[in-house]
Amino acid sequence: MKNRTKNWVISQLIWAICFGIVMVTNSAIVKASDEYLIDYEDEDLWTLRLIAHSPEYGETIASLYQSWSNKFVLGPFSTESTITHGIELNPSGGNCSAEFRLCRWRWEYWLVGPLNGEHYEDRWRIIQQLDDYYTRLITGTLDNCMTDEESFTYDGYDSQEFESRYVSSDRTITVESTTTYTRTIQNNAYFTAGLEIVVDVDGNIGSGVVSIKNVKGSSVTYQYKFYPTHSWYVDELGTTDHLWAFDNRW
Amino acid sequence: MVIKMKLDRVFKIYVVWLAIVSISFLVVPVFAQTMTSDKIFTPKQAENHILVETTEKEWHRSDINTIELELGPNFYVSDYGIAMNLRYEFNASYPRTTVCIYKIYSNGEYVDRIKHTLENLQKFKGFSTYGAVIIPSETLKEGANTITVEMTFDSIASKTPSRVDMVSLKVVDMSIKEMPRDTDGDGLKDAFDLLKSRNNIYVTLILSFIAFPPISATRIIKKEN
Repeated sequence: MKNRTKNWVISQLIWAICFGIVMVTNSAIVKASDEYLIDYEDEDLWTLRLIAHSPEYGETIASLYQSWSNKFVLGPFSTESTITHGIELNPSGGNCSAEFRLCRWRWEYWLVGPLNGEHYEDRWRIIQQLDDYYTRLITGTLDNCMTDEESFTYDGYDSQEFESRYVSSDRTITVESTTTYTRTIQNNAYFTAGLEIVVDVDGNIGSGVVSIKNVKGSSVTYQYKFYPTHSWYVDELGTTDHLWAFDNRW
Repeated sequence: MVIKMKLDRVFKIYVVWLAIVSISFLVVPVFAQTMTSDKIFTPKQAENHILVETTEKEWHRSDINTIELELGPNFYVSDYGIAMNLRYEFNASYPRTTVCIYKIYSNGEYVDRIKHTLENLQKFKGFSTYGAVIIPSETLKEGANTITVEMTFDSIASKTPSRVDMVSLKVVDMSIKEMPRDTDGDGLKDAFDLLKSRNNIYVTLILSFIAFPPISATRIIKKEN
């Protein structure tokens, strides 16, 4: 009798565990099967890997030497895409530069429901990373980043829009001797969270943010060097203080 | 009494069954996979350095590098990814646009190319990683294989240089890494996966479930009655 009860308890426990696993697996399957793709379009776009502004009378080293990952979060349903890379950009004298990779973006229009609440969703994601790379000197005036270009067309392909102009001052820097400000990012942490981007896939426009994550190790992220004797307004872009844009005062 | 004894045996057999299933489909493959590291092949030449100091408005340069792959009989369960990086420096009198093209051949057969445009750079330093280009295992054979990278660099300035322009292009850290396939996407690479096209986790769950004791026990009790 005692053994029988023990067996019964064990069998019930095993049953409960199996039931739990099946339910978890099943809920994922139900979620996936409760979505219907209605339409999609593809377009190849120059996709931002890294951007760096330099102050007039100064220079910037943006170094992401090891593995870094750009995460693009787009649209009201926050669809995510990532690309991984290692880059260094070293603009100077008020120039701004950026590096891009040609990526195939897909816009999808989904009907979701009824099990997950019936509604329509626009989703944007990268479906393929192509082997075309582009390092561009961003056009604009040298003394400030107010008019820096935020999109372009090159080699027949449009770029994403990337909003990284100087808008307003977060701080003022005046130096009497050469001064360097260094911004680092720890392993598995993100920076430039909140840098806004717009993706236009054949007229289907999604807006969102890009952030860059340190995937492996810790290294210098941005170094801003200011030469004497000048002064600048600094706009810290995004929601962290890594990516700076400048307006030279004197 | 007979039923109880049979039930005890059923549970014991079930535990053994669970152990066999999970060891065969999960434990052994995961262990074997973690004990084996992916192969990495490096080129004959550590780096390709193109250094151009000239007053010419336009120039063209080319270079080549090769990687030898010695592959065993099981290479077909993997693809291979070739990766390289570019370290570049410009000190030019006028903005200069340079196009770098790397054509990749596997045993003489064209595989793919990487293109990188460096536009309007005058005084500039930079470094770029390129994502690994896949060399399909179909283009490879057992034994010795040769992967060739043909590089061409074309540069043009916006105006004829007023002094000697310097452009340094250094292709570094070229390597080929084994990229084992995982056809069913269950995290177990094909080389270690008994069920290459079936998710081992689901299979283990299903096999555990179909031998579940209450199912067998119900049959025994029914039979005894």
